[in-house]
Amino acid sequence: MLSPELATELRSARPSASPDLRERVLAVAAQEEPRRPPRFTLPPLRRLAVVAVPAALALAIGGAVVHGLVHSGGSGRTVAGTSAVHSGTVGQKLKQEGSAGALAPLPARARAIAPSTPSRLQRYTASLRVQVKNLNALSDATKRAMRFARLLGGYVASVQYSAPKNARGGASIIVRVPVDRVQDAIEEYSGLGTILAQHVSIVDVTKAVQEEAKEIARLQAEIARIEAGGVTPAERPRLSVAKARLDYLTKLKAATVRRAELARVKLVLTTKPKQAAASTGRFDRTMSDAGGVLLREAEILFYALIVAGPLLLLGAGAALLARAQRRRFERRLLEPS
Amino acid sequence: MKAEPPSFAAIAEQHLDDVLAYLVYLTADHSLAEDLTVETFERALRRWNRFDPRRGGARTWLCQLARSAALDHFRSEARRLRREERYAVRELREVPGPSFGEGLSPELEHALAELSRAEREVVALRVVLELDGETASRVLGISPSACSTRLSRALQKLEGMVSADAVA
Repeated sequence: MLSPELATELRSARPSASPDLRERVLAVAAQEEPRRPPRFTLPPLRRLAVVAVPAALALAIGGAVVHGLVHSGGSGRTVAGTSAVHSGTVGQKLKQEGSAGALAPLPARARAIAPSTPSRLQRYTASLRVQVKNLNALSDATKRAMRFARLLGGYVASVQYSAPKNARGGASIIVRVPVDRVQDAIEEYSGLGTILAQHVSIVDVTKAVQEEAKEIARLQAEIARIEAGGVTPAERPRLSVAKARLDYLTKLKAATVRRAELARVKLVLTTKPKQAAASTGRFDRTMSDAGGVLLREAEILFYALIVAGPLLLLGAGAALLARAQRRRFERRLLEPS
Repeated sequence: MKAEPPSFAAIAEQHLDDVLAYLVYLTADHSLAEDLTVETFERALRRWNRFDPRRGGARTWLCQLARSAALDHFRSEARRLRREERYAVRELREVPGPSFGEGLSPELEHALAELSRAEREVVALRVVLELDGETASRVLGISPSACSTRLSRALQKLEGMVSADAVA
């Protein structure tokens, strides 16, 4: 430490401004003082961070909660449903898939998406998944579906029905109805409850039947020609092959035409899931949505950090380097006496 | 009722001697210190709008400006010397002996002259102007502990040289 005497000496001999210097400085100070505009200076970084970080957090959480409240809705979720149509010819199958989206409800009563064309021979298959309220409704709907198939002039190909006490009940019914009445069947079945899924497939078999008919005519002509000239032992195997082929094709054509006359409709009936009906309350959904939004915000922040991180590090490094350089230069200036 | 902030002229009047003393110690050249003092107040007037009393007193702010003006001068002087050395047209200038104040003993005057600029400025701020450690470190742009270390080293040297001169 400096001795008190030396300190006192230094302070008492402290340089003071000469009148000339005082005059020069006061002349400078007497110049028009710049008008002071209302001062707006950014608060220091630490103070700013103390306010900005909680504010950003509050904004993020608030936004997530508001999003959750807005999107949770007042009642339960809409029932999931899908719908698809498949149609095409035998040679080239045209596939159209129209999905109604994961959460879009299907209309309560759906018309057949692709009606049959009476002038063509078409293999028409449709399947519907319909949800009914409870086991009683399931029983009624199953009976009604079977009765309606018969009413349309069709028949019930198969029925599977299960109604367990503590689980979801279900029924699977396959009916064959005349193709020109298939729209009525689909309309009726879709009115049994809420449609969960619908699938229609149409395959045009007109050309296939025409080709089979041509082949049958050719075989008939060939058989007639062989039989007309008297069957030689050499022609006998050929004749029997032609007859067998004719028989097969005739049956095949009849089956194809028969199938084209009756559409196959599969109806799957289910009851509502017991847990799902009671579960998601509004609060749970709000919290779930808010959590999702917060997660998304965290993801965005993380990505931003990944992208900006190297740049920030480079910037910080450059700033540190510049400061070190400036300090070193200042030290060099101040060291030599 | 809110007090009216002091005018720039009042601030200049109040702290003129402090700025001069600091610059005399830093430069060890009285006439240069006077020129830099005027330069400091010119800079201060230009930046008066930006002066924020919440971030430190007027004296600290003026000392920071004085230091910046002195460093700019040293920098340009160093460049000039380098240029002159390169072209070998260095003129012999009569440099007056340093004077750190009237009434100082020759031993103390000599000891101060032997200190480096960095050491003299910390002595000026902490001993002559009696700034506290934190304020002085803010003026110097270093940490308070570095400021304290520099001060103790400077005072040790000063004491040592004054004692040696007295014995001699």
